[in-house]
Amino acid sequence: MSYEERNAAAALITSIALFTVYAMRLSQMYQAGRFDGPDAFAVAAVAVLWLIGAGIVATILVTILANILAAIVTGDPNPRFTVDERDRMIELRGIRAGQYIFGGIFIIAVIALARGAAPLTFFHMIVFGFGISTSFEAVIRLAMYRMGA
Amino acid sequence: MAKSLVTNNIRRLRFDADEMTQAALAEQVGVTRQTIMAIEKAKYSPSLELAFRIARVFGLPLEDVFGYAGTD
Repeated sequence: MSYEERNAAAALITSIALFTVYAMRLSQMYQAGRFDGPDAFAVAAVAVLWLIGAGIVATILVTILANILAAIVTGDPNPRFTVDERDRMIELRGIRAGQYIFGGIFIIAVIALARGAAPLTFFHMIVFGFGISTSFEAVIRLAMYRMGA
Repeated sequence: MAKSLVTNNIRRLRFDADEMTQAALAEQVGVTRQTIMAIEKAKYSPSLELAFRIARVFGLPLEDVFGYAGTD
């Protein structure tokens, strides 16, 4: 497994774990009535800021752990961190696939808004759309590596 | 993943070059071993620059290492 393939696996694990925790936290906040007041959007924005911060920290930690684990498993004392033209090509294809997914979710969210969904629901759909597209991007990258693209 | 129309003799050339490993070739041209493996299996077409670097390792002109299997 190359350095970038490990990073794609780490990104997938991180995004799934992060958005699962975020969904659970959001559910708790709804049950506690945190989104009932006039400051609902401010509360949601703060939650997203926490998500971004946690995402950055989690990505760094999981990537480091994945590379340490790979070094232990392979027993390679000099692990390589080479990123080459094929890695960049796979990354670009993953990003493009993720953009298609996000675009689709955005359209669904706009349709939901047009049909009377609450603006806060639209906001949540956009945030989760980002999470789904990020996970999908990592899945596409991993699939391409596994297929030997 | 569709096979590339760009063919190559890298596997044979490695064997002739004192059984050079994929990892050794990858190190010399600055890519991962997985990329060399994908090129050998014609699953990935290298950039022109990488193709030249690979040919240079074997001391051969580009057309002795790579070919084109297309009909047009």
